[in-house]
Amino acid sequence: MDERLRQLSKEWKEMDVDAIALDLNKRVKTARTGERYSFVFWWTLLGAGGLAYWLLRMAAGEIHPALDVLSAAGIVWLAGTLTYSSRKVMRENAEWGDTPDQAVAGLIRLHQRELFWWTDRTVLMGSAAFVVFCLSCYAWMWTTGGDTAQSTAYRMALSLAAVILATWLLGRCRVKQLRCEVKRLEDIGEQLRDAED
Amino acid sequence: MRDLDSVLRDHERALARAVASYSRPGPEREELAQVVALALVRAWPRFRGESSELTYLMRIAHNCGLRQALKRRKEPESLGETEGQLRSSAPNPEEEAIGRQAGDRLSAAVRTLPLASRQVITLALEELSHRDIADILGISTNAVGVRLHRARKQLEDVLGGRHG
Repeated sequence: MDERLRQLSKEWKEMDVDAIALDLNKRVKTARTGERYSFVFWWTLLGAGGLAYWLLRMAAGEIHPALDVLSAAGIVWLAGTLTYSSRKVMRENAEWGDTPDQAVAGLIRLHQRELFWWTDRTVLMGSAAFVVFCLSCYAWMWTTGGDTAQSTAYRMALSLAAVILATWLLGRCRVKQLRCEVKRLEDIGEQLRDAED
Repeated sequence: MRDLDSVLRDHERALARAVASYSRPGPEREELAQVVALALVRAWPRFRGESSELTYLMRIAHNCGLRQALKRRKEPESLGETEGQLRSSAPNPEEEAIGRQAGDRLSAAVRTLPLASRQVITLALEELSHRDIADILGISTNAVGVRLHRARKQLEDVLGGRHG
């Protein structure tokens, strides 16, 4: 190392990191606690609790039409939270072990994979799953005398419309966001490669 | 394998400097420090001892920093703003309060460099070998030499501009 770099290095190491409040040790302790009681944990608990409540109410034949829509939205939320959580773990695992350009390439791959699912399969599969789910619930209610045929059909249509609309809107937004993100990451990847030259 | 707390006691300041090279003082730096802390908690159990502890921690910190820098590019140009502050004859109160140390001014100068230069110069200022820098950034040692040469020139230009 030459003299100038050594001098700069000395200057660099004199930086008063305490004055800028970067107590990483303390932050690590906070992060550990946060890990145990994460956002995903609570939302999963809430979603599962809501679902259990709805199933109990349905079993007791006390269900209200508004609850159908709310519970359907709850299920979407729960599935979304779990998907997001697993994807986040995958993404972070990739980032920690990888070099910056590999991390960017890994992120692009993840985005493209998600884009593929949103554009080609997710909406169809999600809608199909909800159709099957709602049909079985309502068929069960109807056959056990919990509801009349007319109100069952009305509520089923309402729930399905809400779920499909929400999924479709969510999908459109996510696709747009993902395409922008992929484009931006490709630019960054190019810049990182250029820096190699 | 040592526990994270004792590893951090040895390398906390180097990590803090890495955070400072990617973020401006204030909320931006606070946020990045928190992100790095969380990443360290999650990543440390996976450390397999294939590199030195510092190399592993630095790679995590730099990946987090890079991610934040890339995210910020969506927002209005922040680098120009930092450079403006550097060259201003009347720094803002925050910069004035914490910017008295030579290291802080150097940190502000480093933040004006392009990402690739910033990474390599930050690690060189920590007195890491070319081999370690190459390992952290995933590039060849030759590329480290080329980038470092370029980064030093850019840094001298910025520091010269500041005094000029």
